[in-house]
Amino acid sequence: MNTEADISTLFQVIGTGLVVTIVMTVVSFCVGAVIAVPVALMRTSRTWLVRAPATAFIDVVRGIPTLVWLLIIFYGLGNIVSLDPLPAALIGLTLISSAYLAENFRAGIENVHTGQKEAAAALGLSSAHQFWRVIAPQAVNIAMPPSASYAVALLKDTAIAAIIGVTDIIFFAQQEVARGAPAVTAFLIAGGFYLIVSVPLSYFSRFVDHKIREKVVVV
Amino acid sequence: MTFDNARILLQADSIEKTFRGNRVLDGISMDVHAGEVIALIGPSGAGKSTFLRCLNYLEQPTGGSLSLDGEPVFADPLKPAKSELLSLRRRVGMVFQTFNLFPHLSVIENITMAQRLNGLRSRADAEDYALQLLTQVGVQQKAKARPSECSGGQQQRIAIARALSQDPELMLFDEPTSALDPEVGNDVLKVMRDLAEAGTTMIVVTHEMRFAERVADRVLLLDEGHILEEGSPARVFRHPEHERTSRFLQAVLDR
Amino acid sequence: MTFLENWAEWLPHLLQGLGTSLLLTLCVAGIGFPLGLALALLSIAPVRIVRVLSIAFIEVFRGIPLLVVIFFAYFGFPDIGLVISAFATIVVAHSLNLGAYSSEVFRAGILHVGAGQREAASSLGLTPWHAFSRVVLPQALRAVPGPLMSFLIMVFQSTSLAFAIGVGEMTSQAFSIGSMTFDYLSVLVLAGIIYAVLCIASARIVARFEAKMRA
Ligand SMILES: Nc1ncnc2c1ncn2[C@@H]1O[C@H](COP(=O)(O)OP(=O)(O)OP(=O)(O)O)[C@@H](O)[C@H]1O
Ligand SMILES: [Mg+2]
Repeated sequence: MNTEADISTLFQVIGTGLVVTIVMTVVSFCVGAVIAVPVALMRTSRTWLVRAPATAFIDVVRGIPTLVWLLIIFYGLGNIVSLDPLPAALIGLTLISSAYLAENFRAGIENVHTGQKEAAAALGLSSAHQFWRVIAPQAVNIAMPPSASYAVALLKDTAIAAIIGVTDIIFFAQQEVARGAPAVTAFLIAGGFYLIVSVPLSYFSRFVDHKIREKVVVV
Repeated sequence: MTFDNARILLQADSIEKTFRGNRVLDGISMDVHAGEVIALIGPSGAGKSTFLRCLNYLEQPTGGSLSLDGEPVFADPLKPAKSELLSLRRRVGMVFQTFNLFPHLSVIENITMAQRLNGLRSRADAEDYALQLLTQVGVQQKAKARPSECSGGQQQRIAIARALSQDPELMLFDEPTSALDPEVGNDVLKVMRDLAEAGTTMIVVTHEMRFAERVADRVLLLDEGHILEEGSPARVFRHPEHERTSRFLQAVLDR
Repeated sequence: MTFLENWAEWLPHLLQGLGTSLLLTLCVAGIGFPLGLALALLSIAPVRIVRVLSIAFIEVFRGIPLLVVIFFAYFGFPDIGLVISAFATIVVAHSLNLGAYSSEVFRAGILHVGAGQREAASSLGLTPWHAFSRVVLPQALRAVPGPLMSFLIMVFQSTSLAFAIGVGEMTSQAFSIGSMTFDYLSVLVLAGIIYAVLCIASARIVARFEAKMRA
């Protein structure tokens, strides 16, 4: 059973899921980051009425497990709009990543040294200029390392999409096991494929962390 | 030199500040004449920084009012309009104890940014002026560098150039040398002395008594939120009226 | 059928599932945290090979999805002659994962206690082991409760993955009610609300606790 030919077929089959895994990660990270910007801006507003919905969004989205979100979107909304597994997973993962990234961006904004805002104000910059020219660029720097390591967490979270039938790495591994492939080998290969992406990604995030430390003043 | 006949540039009228029930400024009034250099001294916690920050509304006073050139700065000092705030801050420059240069911008961008965003000068003119200011403070060689690549003394001189770039009528300094080693601090003090000699109106919170004595036209000693002693450096330092002043000066000299 | 109409009927089932979720969380914490501390100690051990192996272990489990570990254990263990219940599978997989994650917190805590403390201890003539166990470790452990509690919330959320192999925790309960009534939305939302309320409340408590620790 465990011949070399079998193992190489397993590699090939499971490897076909790699693209879907990467697509889910990249799309939900990028779209999530775009949505996270206005959410983080609202979250750091001084007006309660603006801040409260953003706080609620971040807390509720992060308070519900990824799997439950995916089940709600795929099965729950299935009665209203029927979605294919992949779009359902993309919606769910984007929602979740937008909440996590918004929280990172909020921390970035709030951790820019107060002296920076004061210096900008003392120069007579308008509040919009204070924010976009002085606070935001530094907030991005501060938010970058945690966001890069969130990308690793998100990559691993995409595996959950297999449960609603998205054909990613783990989906194919499961499928091959159901067809009689040895489970130990199949899931080792699946794990290996995730490591191929996650290890470089987490090294990159540590590298970013180091680079950024030289560039910003944090409170 | 006396300024009794000079134009009054800034008038602070009974400035009060209360932080959550804690009264830090007890109604401070003072006139600043054009070209005058005022040294603000006093023990730690006296309210020197708070008073200075009230003058450009980084801290909003809970009472009192400001006038520039005889005109009230705010229609309602307790409800400053945005435009009034911006105009006050563009007329008053500030230098911080911790420099607060923008770390994501190069040295020259630190100096040109506000000029351009505030519509003061075109990009080319702003750059020319920035280089001129950097030369004036002796850091022209660092124009392209990042602030983090400059020494503390250089950073503070760059911060002075940045504040000057707005063509302020009045410069505020909050302990500009206390984060610096003494030798490096002297470079900064030299720049400030040059400014004073060129006729810049300045209010300087400082613990450098020699600087206050040599450069200031007037010394104000702040204690527990009010002005305890005020006069020429010679009078305040040699013949203080209050026992408390002598004790403070003695303590500073003993350090 | 209106939205959430039958919540009173479903709630007991969901709460029963919640009990299982919480029990899983407790078991995982009981194994995962000691494992994390052990891995942290091994990863700074004086013997190079021990360090390398434990860091490799940590990196692998931080780099692969928990679901892969769960499936590996669930489908793979029987193949190598290891038969354990689905509940135990979840506990083992989660504990390995938690061990790898929490080891970083323990390690940071230990390294944060500076060389000065170690030197002070050895200058008193304490053996290296006593210097470590009586001086360094107690200080290191003082810094970790906050982050570890946050991990616990994460573990609680990810016990929902037990759904994939049919342990009757809250998500599984919600889903099976959904498959009987075909009203997945209502019951899943109800479960989601329970998760969110518990997670948000405990996150608040953790934040308050950490603020108090810092003060
Ligand atoms: N933002 C604030 N909130 C509450 N209290 C404040 C605040 N800023 C200053 N204070 C208080 O106001 C008082 C005066 O502070 P201030 O910084 O003006 O003193 P200072 O004379 O500049 O002292 P130092 O020489 O130490 O800089 C202090 O008791 C301080 O605790
Ligand atoms: Mg001060």
